[in-house]
Amino acid sequence: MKLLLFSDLHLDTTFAGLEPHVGRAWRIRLREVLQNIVNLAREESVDAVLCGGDLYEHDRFSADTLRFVERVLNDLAPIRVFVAPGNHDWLGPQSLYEQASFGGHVHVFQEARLRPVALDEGVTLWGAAHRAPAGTDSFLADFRVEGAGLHFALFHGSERGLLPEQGDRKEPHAPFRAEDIERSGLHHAFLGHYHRPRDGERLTYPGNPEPLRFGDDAHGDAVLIEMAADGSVRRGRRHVARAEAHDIEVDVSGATHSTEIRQRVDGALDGVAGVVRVTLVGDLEPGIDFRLEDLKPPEAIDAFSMISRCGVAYDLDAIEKEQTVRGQFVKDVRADASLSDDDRRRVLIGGLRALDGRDDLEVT
Amino acid sequence: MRFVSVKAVAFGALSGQELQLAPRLNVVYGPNESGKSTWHDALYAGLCGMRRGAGRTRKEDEEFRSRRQPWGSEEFAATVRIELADRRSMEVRQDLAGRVDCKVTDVVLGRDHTDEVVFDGSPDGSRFVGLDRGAFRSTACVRQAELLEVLNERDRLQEHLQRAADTAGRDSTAAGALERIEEYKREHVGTDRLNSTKPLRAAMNRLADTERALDEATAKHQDLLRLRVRADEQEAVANRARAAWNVVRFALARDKAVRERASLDRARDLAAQVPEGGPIPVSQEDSLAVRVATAVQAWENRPDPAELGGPTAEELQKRLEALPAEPAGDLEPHPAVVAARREYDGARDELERLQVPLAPAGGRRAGRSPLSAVALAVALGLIGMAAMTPSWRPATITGGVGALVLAIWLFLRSSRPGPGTTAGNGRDQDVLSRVKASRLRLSEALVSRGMPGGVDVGGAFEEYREQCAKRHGQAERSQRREDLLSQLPVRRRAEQKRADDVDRRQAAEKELRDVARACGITSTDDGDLVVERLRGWQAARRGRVEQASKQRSAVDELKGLLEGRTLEAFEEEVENLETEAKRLSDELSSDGPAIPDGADLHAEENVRHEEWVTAQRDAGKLRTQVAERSRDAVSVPDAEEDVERAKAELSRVRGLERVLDSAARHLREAEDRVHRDIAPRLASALRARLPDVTGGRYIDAIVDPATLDVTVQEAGGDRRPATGLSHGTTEMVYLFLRVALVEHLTKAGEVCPLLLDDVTVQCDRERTARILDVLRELAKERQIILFSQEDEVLAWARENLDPEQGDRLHELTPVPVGSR
Repeated sequence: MKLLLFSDLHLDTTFAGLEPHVGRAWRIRLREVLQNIVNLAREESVDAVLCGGDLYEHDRFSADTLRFVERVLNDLAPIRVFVAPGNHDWLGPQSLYEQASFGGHVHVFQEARLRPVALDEGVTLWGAAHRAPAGTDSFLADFRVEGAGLHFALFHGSERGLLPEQGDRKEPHAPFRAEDIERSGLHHAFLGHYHRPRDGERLTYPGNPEPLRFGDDAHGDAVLIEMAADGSVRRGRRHVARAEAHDIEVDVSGATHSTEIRQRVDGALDGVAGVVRVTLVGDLEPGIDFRLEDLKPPEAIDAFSMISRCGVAYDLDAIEKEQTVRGQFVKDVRADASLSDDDRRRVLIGGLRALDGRDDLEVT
Repeated sequence: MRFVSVKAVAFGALSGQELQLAPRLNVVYGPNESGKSTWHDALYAGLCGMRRGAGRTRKEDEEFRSRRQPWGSEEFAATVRIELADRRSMEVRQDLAGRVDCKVTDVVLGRDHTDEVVFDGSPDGSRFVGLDRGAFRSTACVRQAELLEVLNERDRLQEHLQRAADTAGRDSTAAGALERIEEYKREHVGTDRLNSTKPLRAAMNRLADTERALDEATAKHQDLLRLRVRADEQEAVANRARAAWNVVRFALARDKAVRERASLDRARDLAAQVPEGGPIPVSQEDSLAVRVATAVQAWENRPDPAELGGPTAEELQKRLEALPAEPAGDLEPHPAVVAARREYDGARDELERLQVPLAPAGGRRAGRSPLSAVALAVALGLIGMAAMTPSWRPATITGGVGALVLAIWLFLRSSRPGPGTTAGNGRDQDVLSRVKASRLRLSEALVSRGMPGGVDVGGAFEEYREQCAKRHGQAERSQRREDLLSQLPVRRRAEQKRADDVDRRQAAEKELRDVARACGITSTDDGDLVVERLRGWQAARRGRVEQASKQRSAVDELKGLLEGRTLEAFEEEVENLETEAKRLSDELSSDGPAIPDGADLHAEENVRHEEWVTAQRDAGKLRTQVAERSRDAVSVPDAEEDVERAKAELSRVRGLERVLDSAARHLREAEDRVHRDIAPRLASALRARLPDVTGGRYIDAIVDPATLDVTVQEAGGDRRPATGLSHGTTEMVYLFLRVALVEHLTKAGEVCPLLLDDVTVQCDRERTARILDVLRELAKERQIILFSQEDEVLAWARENLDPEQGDRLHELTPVPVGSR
């Protein structure tokens, strides 16, 4: 039996700190990824598509997304689709899942406890749904499969042992331990929630198939799963991301003019496609007349964001030795422990620019 | 540090020339165009080089290059050799064109010290004394123009001091920087006042706007979600209502299908009953049937003419014509006459009994005896009896009876005694009167009956009686006329009826035979047989009519069933009804509502349909609202990102405000501290030298640490601002302050040489000498290189400089025109 697993697509998610067109372009790409998954399911002639939750974000999903998901999943017929709602697409009366008109081939698990569905003769898929955005308990606590045959699970939850590697911001929704899977009699658990992909002995986190932030190089894929008669699974990851989200730093140190900076950025973006954030770093010579808005992305770039963390090439060590107000200023600012490093940098550069008679006192 | 030598490798008009410099006071004298300023710049450029940083070339650098780069040569270089306080001897080579081949080398050790002094991309020898090329130019290089500036605008002294103190003489002062920061903050931050149009308030407003927009977007989103739920619920209600309606529809459809199927079967039966071409046409026999019925009836009711007896009408007519006419006058004596006669006779009888002769008027009566009366009576009686024979008519009988009665009366009367026989005379008279009166009355009565009057009333009476009898006989004969008159029309009608009956009978027979022929019945002489056969024909026709009637009824019923449709169309409709019923049946869910028992399905259907329509309409309204609100919905992620951007912008502005405030605060604090540090030094420098150069006129100086305002104190104790001193004193004060500043800015352990360019050009001989004396004194502490074109300076140098003490005079010769 062949399955296609994905999770954490987060349709209609928000991308803070980006220009409006970048966020919108990114959300459009998330939809294209779902289309890619559907296409892959057809190409691979899978028996079923499994979604481990967080397909969309409840607080944000639009009517347009509702119709899109409805159509895409319905178009998958007769391939069966199983959805285990997560903490972002939690199941309630107002859920997309409740308001969409799915065909009979789409099965959305309804209960906050694992319930069985026959995948095939002797093969049972246990699935559960988050019924609230938070506070969902472990689905595996006190759970034990019933009946003979092979038993698999599909739900959105946090394997405690893997939580640290997911980053500080990851909340442990429906937490469980890997050993709970075997103890429950499950042969394997297909999971959602963790964005970093993970293939464990008895669990599979496909990860978010499309990057959800710049530099998300460790994002996941869709996972083709072939079940063996003994309950083991053979997994093959399939890249379905619409494009990568690159976070590129360009060092502008030593550039002598703005054109050179643009050339360095162009060089860094050569061959790059997708969503790109370029961060300029290094010390920018004070006299270079450069503005971020002067940079234009290559055509292959879907969405482009620029930030500058450049310093200015002041020789602060030398200036600090001056017996002048300037030197004293630098010395004082550098010694001011109340300032953050970034503020210190800005105060120094801004103050020195003011002392230089310059009018560009804002330091990005 | 001091300059040992400078080599103009390729610098202005100089190429390869070198100038060896003494450790103390060097006076470089030369007239105009002798390269004096070129050597000054070569010293500066050879030591400090030019920045090789990124970005635009600074204007002063551009001007410097333009002024000093040799024409037609790519090479632009100068080299200086310097000796540091730590006795190190360094050669600084400056490639001023490419700024690549620059190098600082320890002359003794051959070690490269370039990295030690690189500043703005190129080596800067002033870094050895803690300055940089900007600071060196601003503090160690004193130009004629600066001195002139201070002399012409006394308050510029303070600015120069501040600039040197704040930025080692660069363009800005701390005060200027603070003002610039404040100005930048005003424009790029502003205040948070509501009416402010600056970025801070704009960012706050933007954040508030976007947060409101997000709240609205979120509320709309939630509202839309709730509305969708309501729409779904209402849709479910509508579905249930439709299911309930479908149940009844199914029941109705099923019943209708059954009924229509039965009707169809009936229609098929009816269609089978009607022959092709329609019912049997019997209407064309209707008139014949009527004739048959009429003829049969006429035959059966035909009259049987009666046989008439007695006289014919013609005979009666003849008899009538033979009868006499009816007599005129009385047929019987009129009672009045009879009464008058009786009265008269009575009166006479009484008279006779009295024996009273009668007047002649009564003679006949008086002469009659009872016998005669009896004879008359017998005669009359006989006549009467004779008249009573059986052959007589009633009138004859009547006459006979009358004559008999009269005869009896006459007998009786004649047997009574007369009036004169039994009464006296008086009585006789009365009787006579009565006889007379009665005779008169009898006469009058007879006259009234048409008889002539006269004396013989008896005869008149008899005549009258005879005439009555005669008329009576005539009258009896004429009475036969009436009888005949009454018999005659009766006879005529009877004869006419009989004639009519004969005609009708003949007509009935003829019609009967004609109809029989029309019915195809062979005529026979026997009418009854014909009638029997016609009745058979009628019976057969009734059968045909009945059949035709049945067929017409079948056709009518069929038409009613088909309602204008063909049988095939009807069948198709029935099949459609059955299909619809099945479809509705298929739609019924097992857990749906049951068909109501005993309900009026049509009424139920109306109610449930209305419920479904209402529910569907409500669901439709909600769906419309969902669609409308979906169209109006604002993207929540877009709104969130707007808020994030607004927050970021506000954070940026607040961060800028924080940074600018911090920078300003640190600048103010640095300014305060540096000024506090430098002010005493400046005051001390002035205090130590001012009495000497002013001949004891000014004995002390004070420098305000806040503003670096310089105040000098006269020997008498008065204080005067430095800006109010004489030109000469001001020059001295300025020079001393510059020296003090250089001392202050130079890093500890080092001394910085001074390069003075024509600083005495505005001075008279005495002041020049005094300045030069001061410089010679200062040169004991630091190397001073004075460039001048003044002969007084040349003369002073020749007289006062001591090469053995480390002084030197350099006399330049004019550079040939066109050598640059």
